[in-house]
Amino acid sequence: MKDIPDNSCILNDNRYTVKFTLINTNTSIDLPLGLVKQFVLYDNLYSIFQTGKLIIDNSGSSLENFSSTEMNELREQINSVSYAFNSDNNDYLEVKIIPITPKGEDAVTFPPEIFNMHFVFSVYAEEEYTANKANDKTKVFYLRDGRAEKLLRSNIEWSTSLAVQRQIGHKINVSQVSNKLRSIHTGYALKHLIATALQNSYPVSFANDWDIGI
Amino acid sequence: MIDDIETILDKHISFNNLDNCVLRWNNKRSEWSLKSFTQMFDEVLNKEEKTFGSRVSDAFHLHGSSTLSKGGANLATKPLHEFSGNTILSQQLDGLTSYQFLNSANDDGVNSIISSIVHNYNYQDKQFDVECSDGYIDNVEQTFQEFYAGKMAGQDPTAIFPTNDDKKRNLIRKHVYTDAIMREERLRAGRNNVISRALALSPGMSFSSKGGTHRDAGDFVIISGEDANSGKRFAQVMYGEWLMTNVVHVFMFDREDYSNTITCIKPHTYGKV
Repeated sequence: MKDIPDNSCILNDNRYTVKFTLINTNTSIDLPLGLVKQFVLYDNLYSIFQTGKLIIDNSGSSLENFSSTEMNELREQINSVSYAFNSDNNDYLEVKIIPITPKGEDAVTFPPEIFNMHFVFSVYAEEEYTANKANDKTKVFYLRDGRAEKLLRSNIEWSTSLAVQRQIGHKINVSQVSNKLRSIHTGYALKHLIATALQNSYPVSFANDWDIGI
Repeated sequence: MIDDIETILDKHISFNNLDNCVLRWNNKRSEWSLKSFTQMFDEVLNKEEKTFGSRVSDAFHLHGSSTLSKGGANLATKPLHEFSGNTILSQQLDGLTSYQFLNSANDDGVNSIISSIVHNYNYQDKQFDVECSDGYIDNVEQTFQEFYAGKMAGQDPTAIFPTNDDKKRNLIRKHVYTDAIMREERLRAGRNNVISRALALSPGMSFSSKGGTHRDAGDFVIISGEDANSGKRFAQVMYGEWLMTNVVHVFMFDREDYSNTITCIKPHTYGKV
């Protein structure tokens, strides 16, 4: 078992390791848990991906003013990083929520493939609400899976003949055969399309019991 | 790209059982899965070993749901007794005290769960096809029973599939056109479309509970309780295996609280009603 990490918290008498990291091409900063009021995760069977919402206490524009500092052994500040929003249309939020025991992470009590939450969300919209008090503000980030974002943004050249070619190598010239020979099971088509679309951005892995379709 | 994926998914029919499939990104296993509903229902119970299967992720105990049944003070033993689902120990499960329960709506049944007659024109062979058999409401009901309800616990698990004389006599029906050439591909527009709607429009329940990161949409929860043995129609629906279709995880760090709001459906009763 590992030790209890600094970024742990207690929710409903259970302890969790929680980490929110804002990432874009230039910077990544870990959000202090004190800033985060709520995180809501929506998981629907009829949606391919989960979506989410992060609600932050942004009183005094604390998020915009926040900077992550790095100290040396003498506690001298050697580096300070602040986050610049929407500099490249690529704002992402990495979320890790892992239940832990009082002694730390325990893969026997909480098998990671059942309990660990790890998401890379794209921040696709935000809202800010002011409260009655002068400086009290709440910011809401709307989140969708980074893979969904990639699939929404990108257009690629793809045909079932590419999947056929991948399956059988270059034994036939797919440009010279009938549509029937260029066709493929829908399950294989989905697999190939997803792999082709995401291969440069995310590791792509498929379940062993993947349904190939008719 | 996402539209292309969903378009192909709309045409997809399971190779193993000709059922509809669900495409999901599983963030915990970091893998994509494409699985039929039938396969998901297959994983709920290990009937030979008398254990719950890998699809069951949680169980709740319904406290004091109604007036005492004819079972009296006896502890309920049906429908999950052989799976140790309704035992004295099950009373120690997380309690389900407040929930919203909805039967399937009449309007949905009349508009969606009806015979579908599938039309097709094969341009190559210059041939029309009109298929009535696969989409006929009684046959769809039989398939629904075989795919989902028949796999569940109880002596005679029965599909909740609202039909009536008008439906059976095809006075209420719909016509659909598809460009699919093969008969199996045409099921998607007819029979499978009705099955999909019948499943989604099954009796539903929504409740909140203490949070757990292990809860995922697509898994099943078991509802047990003292009243399960009553033989009442409501008990036949309420107790047993529920498919979670929507799970909301709410982490409230400012209140040190974590809760789940779960919506689930149950397309069967554990005995004939």
